[in-house]
Amino acid sequence: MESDSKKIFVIGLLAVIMLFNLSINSQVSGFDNFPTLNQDLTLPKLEISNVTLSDDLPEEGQNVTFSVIIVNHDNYSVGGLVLLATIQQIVLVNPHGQTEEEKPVTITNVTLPVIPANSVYVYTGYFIAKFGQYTFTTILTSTLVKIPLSNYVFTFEVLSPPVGDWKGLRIAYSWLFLTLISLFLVPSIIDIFYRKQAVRKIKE
Amino acid sequence: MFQKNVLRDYELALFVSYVIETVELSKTYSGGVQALKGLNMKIKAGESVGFLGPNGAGKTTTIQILLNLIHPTSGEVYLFEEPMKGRARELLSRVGALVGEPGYYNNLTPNDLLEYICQSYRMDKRTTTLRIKEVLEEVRLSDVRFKKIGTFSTGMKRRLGIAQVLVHDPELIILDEPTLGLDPKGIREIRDIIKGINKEGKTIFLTSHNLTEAYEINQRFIFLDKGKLISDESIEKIESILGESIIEVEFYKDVSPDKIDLVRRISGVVDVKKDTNHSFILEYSGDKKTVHAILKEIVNLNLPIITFNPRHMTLEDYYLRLYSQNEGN
Amino acid sequence: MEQGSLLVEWKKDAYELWINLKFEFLKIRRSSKLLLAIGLAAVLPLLFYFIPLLSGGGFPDNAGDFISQNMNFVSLIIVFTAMLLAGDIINKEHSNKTALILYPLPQRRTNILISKYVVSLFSSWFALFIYYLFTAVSVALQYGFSEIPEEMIKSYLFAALYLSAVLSVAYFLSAWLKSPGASMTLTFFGVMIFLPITVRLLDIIGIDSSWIFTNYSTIITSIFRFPSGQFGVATAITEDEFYKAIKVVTTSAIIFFLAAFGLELNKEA
Repeated sequence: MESDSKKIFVIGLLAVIMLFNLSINSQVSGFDNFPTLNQDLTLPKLEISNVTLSDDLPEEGQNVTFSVIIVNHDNYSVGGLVLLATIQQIVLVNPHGQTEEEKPVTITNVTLPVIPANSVYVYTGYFIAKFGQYTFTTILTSTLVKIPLSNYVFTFEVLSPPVGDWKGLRIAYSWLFLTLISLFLVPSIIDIFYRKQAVRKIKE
Repeated sequence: MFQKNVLRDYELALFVSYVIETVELSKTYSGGVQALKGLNMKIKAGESVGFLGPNGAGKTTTIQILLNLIHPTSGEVYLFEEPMKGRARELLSRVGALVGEPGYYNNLTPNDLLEYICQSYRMDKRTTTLRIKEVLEEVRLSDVRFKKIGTFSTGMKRRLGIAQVLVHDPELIILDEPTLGLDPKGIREIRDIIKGINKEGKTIFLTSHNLTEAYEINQRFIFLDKGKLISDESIEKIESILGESIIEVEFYKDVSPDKIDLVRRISGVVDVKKDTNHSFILEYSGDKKTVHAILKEIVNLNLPIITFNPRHMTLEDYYLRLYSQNEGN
Repeated sequence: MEQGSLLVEWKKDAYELWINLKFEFLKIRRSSKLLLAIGLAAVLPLLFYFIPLLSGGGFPDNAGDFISQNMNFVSLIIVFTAMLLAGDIINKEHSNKTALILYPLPQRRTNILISKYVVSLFSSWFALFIYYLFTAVSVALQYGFSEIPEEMIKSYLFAALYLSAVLSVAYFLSAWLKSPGASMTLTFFGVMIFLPITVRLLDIIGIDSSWIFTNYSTIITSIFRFPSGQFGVATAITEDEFYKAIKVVTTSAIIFFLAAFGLELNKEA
């Protein structure tokens, strides 16, 4: 008898949650055909307040940790949240003069644990940096409905590893100047050779 | 040929010193054009030599070889009795040269250019300043010492060229067509400057198309034709030849070779040379009486004579005679 | 070998080199070419700074992006400067007949040719330095002095090396071609267009084109490590690529210079 009551309570709770989700105006175009309800859904007051990277200008190959700071402004806990984080490379114009669309790469697509009321939750993930310019996008959804204030977008860049060996440059410049110096020194050697030859001829 | 030893200045003074000597000098350009064929010549110190010949004779080629601008195909060049090879820089420090119609750096002033030239002849600063002032006065360009060369006339540029040749007080001066492109006044100015230089004891080696100019300046004449030396005469010898008399004769129609032979046989006539289609040059020996007798004979032969002009031979006549003889050979 | 006389000869050569360096520099100074090269090198960075400032167009977020974007024109500066200062440096002496004054003087032609190259090289390096200097000043004004990246020095050194290769090409063309106009034009279009086209064609038919030095012009900006290179397409380079670039660029500079030298020494004035 007791376990049945629990089951009914959970189902009822889930139904309420679902009803709340349905009332959110969807910002994702794919949800335009979702059936509307008679009353407005109240969505959780959740917000992705910030996303930080462990290094503002990481280098290629570097393991970059990102932290998504989620704030629950509501008086009740929120569960069943899905965090989606994508990275999309910014390519303006390629060498052929065409605009390319790079597909966003999903780096995180996880169901978050329940976030207690009026609390901050920090999700930490990581990715391996590749050289380029990127847009980092985070979205929180609850049963496929995007939560307002959860769309956090920023751009970041990944540097290439440092290149340019000083030794190589030194050697290059040395060769250049050595060539000039040789051209400066050699003609006198040739002239003296000719003079010695001429003296030898006279002696003969 | 005397032994080519490297002699010091004081040793040179005891001997006849040759400032320029070429030994079997030849030059064939790529394309097979043979500009010089075994040129042998010697120029003594203090001489003023005219190096003459028609276009393509090899004059400029010779000068370019002397100045180490081009290399000979074969043969030897000696300046101041030393071989050019391996010593060009040292020997050319005693030479001043003006080759053809050189260009000038329009953004530079005569002072800039002459300073550079003095430095390349290793003159010290004090001497440089003095000499620049002197030569510019000599060629009458003192007023424009600090003006850009781009504003100069042709005559002024040519005078600057002479200044550039003289500024380092060279022993040997090589001039290739120094009066080319000048008006009569300019030609006279340059001629006077060159005569003055020679009087100072410097050796002048000059090429020119202008035979009158060469005759006024030089004391010795080397004639070149198709890369070969065809004549090397002193002015005295030339003058004795020019003392010879000739008669220019013109007919109003063609005269047969037989008739010309008859003229040739007239007493007093040395030779008859065709000048143009209907005119001839008669070389004769004798006096006015001989001239009168020749005229009488030509009239008696019923030749269609319209002009009979006795005169002395000019350098042009000598030149033409020389080259037609060479053609014949 | 007579060592004493060899030292004397070298001393004479050093003196000749010195007077010719001064003379060549005087000629370049008096002509408007150096001023034009420096002017262009100064104006471009100033334009990239003042135009966004005055129009309110905005600057990139960081100094690295600013530099990478504005340094895209450094190749143009390099080719233009080389063309101006070396494109006609030899054949102009012949076409203007100033060689008839220069070459009969008692000095080695080698010293004249070396001084011509050295003066045009150092003048070009100076113009390039002005470009980098003004860019650095723009960065300092917009982002602060501390934001001037140390990669600017490396980039300048590589750019100067690349410039020496382009200058050698210009020098070679001016020794090879009779017309000063032709050599200057061919320098510009050769390096900016023909060689890159040749690289592309060789790539298409599968022949290695990495020996052509124009392949490595992008390294000048890639040294800054920022992805906003030309047209916004990132080109990262590795250490090996950098070494190869140095080798190819230096070898090209030396080979073209030696070829020019050989051509001019054998030329009959």
